[in-house]
Amino acid sequence: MASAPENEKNASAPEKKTLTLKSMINNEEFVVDEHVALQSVTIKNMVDSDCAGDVIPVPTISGEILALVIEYCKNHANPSASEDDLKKADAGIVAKDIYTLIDLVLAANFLDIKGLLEVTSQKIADSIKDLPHQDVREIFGVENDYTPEEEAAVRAEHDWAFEGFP
Amino acid sequence: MQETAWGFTEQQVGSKGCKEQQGLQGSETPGHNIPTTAEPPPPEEAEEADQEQPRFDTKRARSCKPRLPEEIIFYILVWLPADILYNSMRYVCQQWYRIIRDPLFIKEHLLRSTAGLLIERCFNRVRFAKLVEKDAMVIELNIPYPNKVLATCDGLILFEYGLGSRKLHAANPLTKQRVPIPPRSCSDVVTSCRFSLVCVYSKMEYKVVRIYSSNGDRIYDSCEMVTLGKDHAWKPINSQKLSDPCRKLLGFKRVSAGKFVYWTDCAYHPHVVALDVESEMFYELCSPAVNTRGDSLWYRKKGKSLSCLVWLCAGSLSDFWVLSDPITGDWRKLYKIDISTMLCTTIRGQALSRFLPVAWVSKGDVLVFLVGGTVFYVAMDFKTGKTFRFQSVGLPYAHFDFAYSLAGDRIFVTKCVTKFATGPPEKGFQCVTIVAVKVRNGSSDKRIEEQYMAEFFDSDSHMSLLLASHPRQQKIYAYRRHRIAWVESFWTDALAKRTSIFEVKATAGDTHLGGEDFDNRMGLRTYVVFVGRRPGPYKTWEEASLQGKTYVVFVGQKPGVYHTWEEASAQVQGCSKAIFRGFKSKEGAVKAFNGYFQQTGPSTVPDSAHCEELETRLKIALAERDAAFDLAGAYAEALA
Repeated sequence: MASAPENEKNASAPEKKTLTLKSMINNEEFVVDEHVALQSVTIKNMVDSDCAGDVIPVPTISGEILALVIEYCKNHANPSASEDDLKKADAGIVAKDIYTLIDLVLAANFLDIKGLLEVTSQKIADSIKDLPHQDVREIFGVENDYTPEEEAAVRAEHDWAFEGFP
Repeated sequence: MQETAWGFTEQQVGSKGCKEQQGLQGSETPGHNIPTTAEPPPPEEAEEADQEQPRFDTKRARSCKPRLPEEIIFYILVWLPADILYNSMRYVCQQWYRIIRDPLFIKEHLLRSTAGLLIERCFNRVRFAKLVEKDAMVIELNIPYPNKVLATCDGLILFEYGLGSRKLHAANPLTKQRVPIPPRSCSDVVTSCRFSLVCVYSKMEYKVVRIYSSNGDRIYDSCEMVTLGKDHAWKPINSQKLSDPCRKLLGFKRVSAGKFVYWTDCAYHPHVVALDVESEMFYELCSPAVNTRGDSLWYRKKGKSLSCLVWLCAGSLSDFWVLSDPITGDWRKLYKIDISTMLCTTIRGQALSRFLPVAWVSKGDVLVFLVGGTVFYVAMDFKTGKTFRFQSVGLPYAHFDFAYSLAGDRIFVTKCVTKFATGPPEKGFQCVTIVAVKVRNGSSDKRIEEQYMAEFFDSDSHMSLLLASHPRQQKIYAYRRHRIAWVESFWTDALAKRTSIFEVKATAGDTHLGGEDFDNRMGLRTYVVFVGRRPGPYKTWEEASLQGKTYVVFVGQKPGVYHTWEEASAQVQGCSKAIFRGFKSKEGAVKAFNGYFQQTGPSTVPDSAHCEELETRLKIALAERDAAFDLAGAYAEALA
């Protein structure tokens, strides 16, 4: 969103260009307008430094996720979209299960799309909000690396320091 | 194990995250540098990318779950409410715990927090209304002290500790940490309208601003300020430059927003006074509307700025102004809304004049009104135009905006009271702080214990370690993280009280306290002098004992000057009229000893005349000692 004026500049100088993004996981290809793809800072940097060929391979993102990312970029590249519409569209994109969201947040981070990163992580936060921490560990594939003593020490912090001090 | 657990996880996780990224980019454009990451990709990037491939395939099958880079976890956690972070997410793993305690995280989190309403009732009960979508949860806030809330800021509460005790504390009710505020320079009673708590976000410092009457004439126009956890005394702020009518405003109602404190008079005054607590400058601003026709003006904090609600007497429209620039004093009109119909449809049968605007909550777009004389509240969302009502229990006494936050973690850390340039006795560790703390053990046991603490900074790992000692158990407790609030530490007090050389007994058994690597670095046996000439850790007892107090045995089995309590006490055992005293300085001790023995000569059993003489001598010696203490105290204060 923030880079919108730059996108315009890039897009208006030559005639409308398209880029092809190719997911390296299931070899799906997506043809997108350049100014849509340039929402990704990673892709923009590649294009600016002339190291992008006709097909840009995206190594870690599956076609399913890439489609979501492109949908987001298309929505936000549309200058006539109102803020409310964008909000609704974003909410539609992130209405997915938590594992898809984690893949999406990884993709957003890799492609460096700030807005998508924000809405996705907000949605993930919303969905783990009411879960016990054991379930959160499960979802994020995090191992409990506290020893019982350390965990007790962390729990002990939850007391008033020097309770009853005069 | 210990080191990975506490100290070095960061580097490991960090480098892993980098590797992953670089690997990915490498495969994307082989042989090219992509300027998005700061680190240049390593030459073997292509191979790494190959290795990454199967990992992501299995991830799709969800047999192996992804390990998210730390920055993404940061982005996710920052959206969670503080109470969930503190009560649940901290326990997920140590990486998460560390992220949550990170000052940058706390700051980012504050920017996203949504404020609720703190309702103070009589009998010092405080309730907290947390506003959700179209409702509010009102819960009792549990602060285990009798208190009176004076001000709030970002989830910190400034309160009077014990009614009429004039002691002030700031606490975070979520993390249950608190910090005492230095005693005030002027000794008038705590009056609730005179304190403000403000945050300077650029430095993440919290400041308490207080208005007082300098010469007891009840004209409140003097101002002083203290930084939480940092200052040990109040610092006066010159308010003389303000014009006379504006200076009088300082005694009126105050609003703190952003890094400013504003003083306003909702009735007649055409000005607003603003104090920038960072630059400590006062500004005189104009009020957005001059009250002429009996309109009412309400100044409230809205987000990080001051808002003014002008309740026009004629007609049903109200103006909402917000101060867009506190330095030039530009007001911007936000809304012009007919709130009377909205309010009166929410709660019927109430005159408009009974609705009192209480505070802007949520993200600064919901205004809460109290129906005067009742326990009912109306919240009005200005973005959507919706209203809803909720209720509390017990008639409210005062209101504050408040949100659970993780704020203040660093300010509660034990603060340097006295710094000593001891020079590191053992490479790496340097003693930076010596603090004396009084602890009351448990609630049933009324005895007050004294505790000494020393903070050591390890220049190798950039970690600090806190040692605390219990004088009776003679045992050192090592804290890796220090959460212990320093409590009115009187260095001089500590000096006068007791000998204070302690043997470090932290061993491998205390690994979770950080004892093991401390032992490794310090050598197995270490003696720490908490109070003495040159406090710090020493390798041998002899060395340490030279730093402590000096004892003079005037009457005993073998009168003389001793360096350790053990030696000295051995000389007085079994001697009924033994007299001995501890001295801070060796010189003082020798002087007292010589002074006494020039007259009397050494003796094991004193006669009565000698005893009398001795008493006088001792009095002189003790007076000298006290003078020395005072000097040491002043010195310590000057250093602090």
